[in-house]
Amino acid sequence: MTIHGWFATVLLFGVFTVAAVARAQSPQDRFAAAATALSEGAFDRALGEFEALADSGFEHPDASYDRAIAYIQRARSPQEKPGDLGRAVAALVETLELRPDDRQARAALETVRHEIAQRRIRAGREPAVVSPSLGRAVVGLLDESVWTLGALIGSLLLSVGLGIRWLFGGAPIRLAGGVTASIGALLLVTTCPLVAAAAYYRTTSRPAVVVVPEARLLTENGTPLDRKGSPDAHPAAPEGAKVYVLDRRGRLARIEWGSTRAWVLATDLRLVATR
Amino acid sequence: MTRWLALWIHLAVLLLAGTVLAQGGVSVELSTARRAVEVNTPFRVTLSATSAGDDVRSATPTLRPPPGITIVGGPSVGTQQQMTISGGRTSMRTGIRATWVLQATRTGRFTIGPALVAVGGSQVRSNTISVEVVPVGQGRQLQPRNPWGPLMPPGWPSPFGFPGDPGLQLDDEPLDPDRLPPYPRELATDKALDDIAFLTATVSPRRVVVGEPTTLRIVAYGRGGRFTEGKTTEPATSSFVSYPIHDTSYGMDAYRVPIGDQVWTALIAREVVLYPVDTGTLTIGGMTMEFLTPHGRPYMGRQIVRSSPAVELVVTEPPQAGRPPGYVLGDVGRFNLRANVQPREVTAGQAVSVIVKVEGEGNFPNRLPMPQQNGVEWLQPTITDAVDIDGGRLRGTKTFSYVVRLQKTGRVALGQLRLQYWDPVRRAYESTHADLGSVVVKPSQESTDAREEAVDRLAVVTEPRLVLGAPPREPLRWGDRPWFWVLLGLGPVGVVLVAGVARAGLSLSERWRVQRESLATQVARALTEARRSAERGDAAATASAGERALFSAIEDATKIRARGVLRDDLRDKLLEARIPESLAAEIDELLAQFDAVRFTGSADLAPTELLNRVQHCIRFVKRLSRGRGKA
Repeated sequence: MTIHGWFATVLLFGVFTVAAVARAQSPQDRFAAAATALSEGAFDRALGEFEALADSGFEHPDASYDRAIAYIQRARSPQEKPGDLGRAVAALVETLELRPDDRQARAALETVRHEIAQRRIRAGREPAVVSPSLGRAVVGLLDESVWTLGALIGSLLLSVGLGIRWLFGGAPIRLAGGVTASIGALLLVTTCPLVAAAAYYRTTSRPAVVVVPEARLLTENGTPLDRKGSPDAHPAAPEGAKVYVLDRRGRLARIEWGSTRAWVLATDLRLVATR
Repeated sequence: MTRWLALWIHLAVLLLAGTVLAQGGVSVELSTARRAVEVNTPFRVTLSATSAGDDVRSATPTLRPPPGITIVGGPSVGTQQQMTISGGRTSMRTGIRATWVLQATRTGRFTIGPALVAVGGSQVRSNTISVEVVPVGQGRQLQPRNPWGPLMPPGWPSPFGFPGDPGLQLDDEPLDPDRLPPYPRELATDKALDDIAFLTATVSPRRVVVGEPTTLRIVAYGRGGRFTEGKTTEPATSSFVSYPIHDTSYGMDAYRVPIGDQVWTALIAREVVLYPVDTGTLTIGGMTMEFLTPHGRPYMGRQIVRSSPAVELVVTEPPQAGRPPGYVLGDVGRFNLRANVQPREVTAGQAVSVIVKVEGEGNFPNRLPMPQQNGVEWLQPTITDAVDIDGGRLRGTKTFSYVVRLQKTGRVALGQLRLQYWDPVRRAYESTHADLGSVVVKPSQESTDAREEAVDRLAVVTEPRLVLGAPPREPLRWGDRPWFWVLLGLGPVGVVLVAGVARAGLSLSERWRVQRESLATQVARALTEARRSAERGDAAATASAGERALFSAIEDATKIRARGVLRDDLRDKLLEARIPESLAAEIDELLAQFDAVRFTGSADLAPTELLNRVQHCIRFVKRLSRGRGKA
C-alpha cells in the first residue's frame, strides 16, 4: 500500500470515529440518558445534563418538562436549594411556550405554583398573584398563529364577498356577497390589531420567570422601588412569577410584571425559550 | 548735643503747630468712660478730634500707652459730625473718633496720653487722662453709673457719642509677640489674604482612601478686633459624609494671632470631619461669611463678606493588592465585632435575635455580610448608632439587630461573621470576626405536617418523559413581516381595484359611444358619406347625405331641429336664430336643390358642386356658431 493509501485509510477511519462520537452525543441521546437518570432518582446528574442541553441551544418541550421534574425532585429532597421551584416553573412555562396544548405541563405548572404560594403563606408572606396587563391578557387568549390565520381568513372572505357583489347582479347573490364581505371585514378588523400586538410583544419582550425566593423591584439606579403610593404594591416579585424582560442594562433587567414596570437583578430571572 | 537740640526744636515746632491748629478750630480730646479699671481687664480710651472744616477727616491718631498698660485692640477710627446751636447761630464740626482697647498688667495709677493726631503734616496733642488700676474684684465698686442705666440694653452704645462697640478696633501698633497670650497652633498663618478680614480653609490629610476621615478647618481672621459671623454659606461637601466638630463659630474662643507685624483676631469658623464616598480629586467648596461685630453691626462700619478658597484632596481606593474577598469599599477604620444570639433553642419556624455590635473608630459599615444558608432566613436588620466625633474621629458603637427565622431542624450552625476593613493607620487590610455559634431547632408538629403535605402535593409531578415527542410546530408568526400585511390587504384592495377599473372602462366606453353620436360627429359622418357619393357621381345619395349633414350642422349651431320644420318656415326660423339672410337664402336654395334631386332625379348642379355648396354652408354655419360661442 502506498503512502497515499495509508493516508486515505487513516482519514476515513477518523471521519467514521468523529461521526460515531457525534452520533453518541446527539441531543436526543443526551436527553435519553438524562431522562433515564431522572427516572432512577439521580436528579442531580439529570439536572446537569438537562441544563447542558439547554445551554447548547437544544429546545424541546419534553426536555424542558423533564428539567422541571428534576428541579421538583430536588425541591422535595434534603438537597433542596433556594429557587428550585422557581426554576421548575421556568421549565414548565418553557414547555408550554414550545407546546401550548401540553395539558400535563399545564397541570404540573399549576401544582408547583400552588406549592410556592403555600410556602409563602407559611412563611408569613403574601402569595403576590399579579394578573398580566390587559393587552397581554387579550393577546394571550389564543396563540399568535390563530390570530394570524383569522386575519388571513378575514381578508379572504372580504375579497370574495366584494367580488360576488360586483360580479353578480342577482339580489340574493349580492346579499350573500354582502354578508360574506361583512363577516370578513369584521374578522379582519378584530384580528389585525391582535396580530400586530402579538408581534409587538414577541419582538420587544421575552418571557422569564423569577428563580429566587423574591426578586426585589428596583429603580433604574438599583435602589428599591418606592411603591408606597400604589394600593396593590408589592416590593418584590415572588418565586415562579412570570415576567417579561423588556430591556437589559448591566446587571439589571427591566421587566413587566402585571402592570408594573421595574428593574430587577438579571440573575434573579431565567429567560424562557420560545418558538 | 546736636540730637538734643534737634529734639527740642522739633518739640517746639509741634507745640507751635498744635497751638496754631487749636486756635484754628481743631479740638482734640482723649477720654475714657472708666476712671478705675481692674487689672487684666480691657477698657476703652477714645480720642475725639473735630474741626470746623474737613481737615481732620483724614487725620491719623496714635497713642503710646505707659508701661504697665498695653493696647489689645484698635484704634478703630470712625468719622463724626457735631452740630451746635448757640445764640441763634448754628455751627457744624466734623472729625474723627478713634477708640483703643487697653489692658493694664499691674495695679497702680497710670496717666495715659497725650494721643497725637496728624493733621495736614502737623501733629496735634490731646490731653492726658488718669486711670486707676485696681485688683480684680474691686473695679465694680468704682464704676461710674450710667445715667441711661436700665433704659439701655446691655452692650448698647452710650448716647453720648461713645462708639460703644468693642469690634471697632484696629491693631496697628507694632507687635510685641511676647505680650500676646498663647493661641492654638492651627490658627497660625504666615500671610494675611486681605487687609481687613479673610477666611482660610485647610484639609488634613490631603490624600486619603474612600472612607478615611479627613478634617476640614475654616478659620476666620479679622483685623478689627472681635467679630461674629452673619449670613453664612456652608462649604459644599457633596462627595463626603460629614460629621461636624464645630458647625458654628458662635461660642468659639477668639485669639489674637500675629500675622507679619500685625495682630489679628482669629477664631475657628468651621471644623468638620469628612468621610469621602467617591474617588478622584474631590473639591470642597468655599464658605462665605459675613463679618459682624459682636453686637451684630457691620464690622468696621461696613459690610464685609469673605469667602474661603476651595480646597482639593485626592481620594483613592485602598490598594487592590491584598484586598480580601468580601471587603466593601468605604469600610475604613479600626473595628471589633461582638455578637449575641438569643435564644439558643427554638422550634422550626421560630426566630432568634442576633445582635451584632461594631465597635471602634472610622467609617462604620452600613451592612454586614451575614452567613447565608438554606433554612436560615436573615430579615432586614435594625441599625442603631451610638457614634460621635471624638478627637476628630468618629468613634463609638453601631448595633445591627437581626431577626433570624430558622426552618431547618437540628443543630443549626449560624456560622461566623467576618468584617473586612482597611486600617488607615497600619495601611493594611484587617479583619475582625464574631462566631455566632449554633442554635438547636426542634421540629414543630405544624411544620412537619406542612412538609409532608408539600411533599405529597409535588409527588404528582415527578414522572419524567423518557422519549422525545413530536417537535414543536413552527407557528405562523408573520405579524412582524411586511409582506404579511401586504397580503392581507391585497385581496380586498385587489377586488376593489379591479371593480373600479372595470367600471371606469365601461364609463369610458359609454362616453365614447355618446360622443360618436353627437351632432358634430353626425355632420362629419354625413359629409364623408356625401363625399363618397359625389365621387361615385350619385347625385341622389349625395343630396341625401348632404341634407343630413346640413340639418345636423344647423341643429348643432342654432339648436333648431331643421328636419322637423316645414321648409317654408325654415327661412324665418333661421332668421330668428340670427342667421344672416344671405346664408339663410343659400340654405333654402340648397335644400330646394336636394328636393329636386331626390324627387326628380335631376339637378342643376353636379354632385360635386352640391357637395361643395353643402360644405360651404356648413362652414359658414360653424363659423357663426363659434363666433356666438366666443361672444
